[in-house]
Amino acid sequence: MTHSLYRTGSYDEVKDDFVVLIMPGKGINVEGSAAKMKQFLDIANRYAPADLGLSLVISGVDEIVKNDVCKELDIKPHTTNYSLGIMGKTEKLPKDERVLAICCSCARSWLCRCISIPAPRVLTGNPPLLYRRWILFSLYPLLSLILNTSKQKSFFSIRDIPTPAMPL
Amino acid sequence: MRIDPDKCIACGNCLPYCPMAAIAMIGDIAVINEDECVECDCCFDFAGCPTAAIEKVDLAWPRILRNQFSNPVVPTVTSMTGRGSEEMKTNDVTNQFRAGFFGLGVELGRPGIGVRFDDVEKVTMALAPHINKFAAVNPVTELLEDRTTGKIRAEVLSEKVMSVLVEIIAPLEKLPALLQELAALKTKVNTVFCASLISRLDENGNSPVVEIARQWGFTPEIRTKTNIGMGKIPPGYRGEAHK
Repeated sequence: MTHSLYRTGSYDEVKDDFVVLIMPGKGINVEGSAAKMKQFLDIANRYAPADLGLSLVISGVDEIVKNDVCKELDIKPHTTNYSLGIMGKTEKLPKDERVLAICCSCARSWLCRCISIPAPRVLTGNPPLLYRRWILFSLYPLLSLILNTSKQKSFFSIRDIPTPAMPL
Repeated sequence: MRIDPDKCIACGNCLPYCPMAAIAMIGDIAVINEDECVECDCCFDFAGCPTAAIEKVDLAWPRILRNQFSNPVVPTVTSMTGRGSEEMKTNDVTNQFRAGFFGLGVELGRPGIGVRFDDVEKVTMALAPHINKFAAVNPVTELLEDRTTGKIRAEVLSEKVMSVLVEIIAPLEKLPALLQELAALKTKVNTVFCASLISRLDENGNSPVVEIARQWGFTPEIRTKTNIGMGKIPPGYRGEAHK
């Protein structure tokens, strides 16, 4: 949920942001899914489409995902999760948009500005080592790719954000 | 989590690794504020204390919930890692969210802010009268003392965690009432929260929840998360899931 909820912005700001998530349904098609994940990575490396029978979720600008992606590939989208935005004590949120984007809740603080994870690896779908280990050794494999090469440079200096003024 | 005062050399390296800003220098040692610490293990796992002064302690109930809800690789009471269910991510094979129903997810807290369960209870009790059910395989659902009222077990209410996710399913006609409850919660909880609506799409890729949300003063973000229907149920599967 976080991969859309904390990426707010104008159309131009987020039109190139895509998160792709592939996962099995527990108790339904988990068996063999780890091997399929590996197969996906092999296929993705060759930039070819894959039909593995596993659920595939794309997070992005709604009209782009549905019109430019699904229609182009003749895919009928099944279910959508619509974000209603961030509410409550929003004055407690980090002021820097980059912190808001990277330090999301899905990975708790694993993708934290305080941690020495080079941001481009995160943003280009090359998960940090610990996250990769989590995928490889999990009995319930889940593959998540965050794609936006154009934002690499702007996020690269994430560790330069002043840290003493905690909380985030 | 604790810092052994006899080992701490006051280098301060651990302070920026705490997502909750719960470590402070007091005198010449680093000290963890136990009430604010959410037991996420970040300081232990990542700070690289030069004298190994950061130590894990055995966590008893209900404090162990902090660890389960704040460290993404620690399984919760649902035996799954993560705060929520598969929700719509696998709806093409589970069919949890059918036509005529919708899902509502309310995510409370985030790194740097956190949430206590007394705030979570405000949400569960506000939603409970209007819904079909709280989502199964969700660790918050497991903490409910009464699923009809949304009351959470009293002994956990003061526990603080990084974030939690409340998930419900309800008939479409209940959506306006739930949106009104959501609007009222904006000023009642002492943390940030996000809400999202889950809906099956019609033949044209549209959903009824968008227009209803707008009617009740909510503006869905232009970004969405869409299950594109690639999941397949294996031949011979005898469970309840279906397309």
